[in-house]
Amino acid sequence: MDRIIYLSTILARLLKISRVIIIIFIYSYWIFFPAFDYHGIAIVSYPLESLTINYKSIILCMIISILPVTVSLYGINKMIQLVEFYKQGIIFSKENALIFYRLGHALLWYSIADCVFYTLVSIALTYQNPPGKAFIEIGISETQIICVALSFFVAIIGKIMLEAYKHNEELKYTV
Amino acid sequence: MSIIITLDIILAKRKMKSNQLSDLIGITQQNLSVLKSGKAKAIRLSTLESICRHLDCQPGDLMLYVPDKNVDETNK
Repeated sequence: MDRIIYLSTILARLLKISRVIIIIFIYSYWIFFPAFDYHGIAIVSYPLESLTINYKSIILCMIISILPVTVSLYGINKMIQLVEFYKQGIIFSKENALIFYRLGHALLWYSIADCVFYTLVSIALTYQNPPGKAFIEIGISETQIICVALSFFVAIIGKIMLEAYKHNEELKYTV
Repeated sequence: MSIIITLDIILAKRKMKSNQLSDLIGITQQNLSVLKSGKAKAIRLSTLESICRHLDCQPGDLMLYVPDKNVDETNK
């Protein structure tokens, strides 16, 4: 049990730090865009010369980034909640099962948000281009497909845990 | 819950305490409490048989069926 509490404490701290890092990274990326790209850290992979980079497009990109960041933070908050339960010694409970179920949904929403994000960012960075030079990216990447597949697995695991909890409750109240 | 457990009434009639009955039938006092308080979701036939044997009663003496809307009136 001590080992569970110790590992849960470390994981909770790492997840809380990652919340802050995600926000700082995403908004630093746009504030200094395209500086990070020159150092090999890129969120968008369009050729820089095809983009119109000014304060309007950057502000639009920052607003659009709220979408995937919100979903990511929701997922991380759910994981922190799960880990806090583990710290209290609550390993198998209805709440834990519901968290897994919601994490599955969060992964699905993340892949949708990711898809929408790239479409909107392509518009934000090229709508001010001369006629014939603007473009829209619409597509599904392997990351999104993997996210969707994982979301189903995690949601199913959550559902199984919920059913197991109900079954356990029945047994607990069987005399 | 539409099934009301009337174990308390039978125990009173037989002048037996819960802890005596739980020792006789081989279940914990907590489990017997769960049954008496109406929180039980299921009862094993072996437990029911043991209760009936030690209290000299029928299964029907231990429970009462009340349709849902009448439960509150009965509890009053």
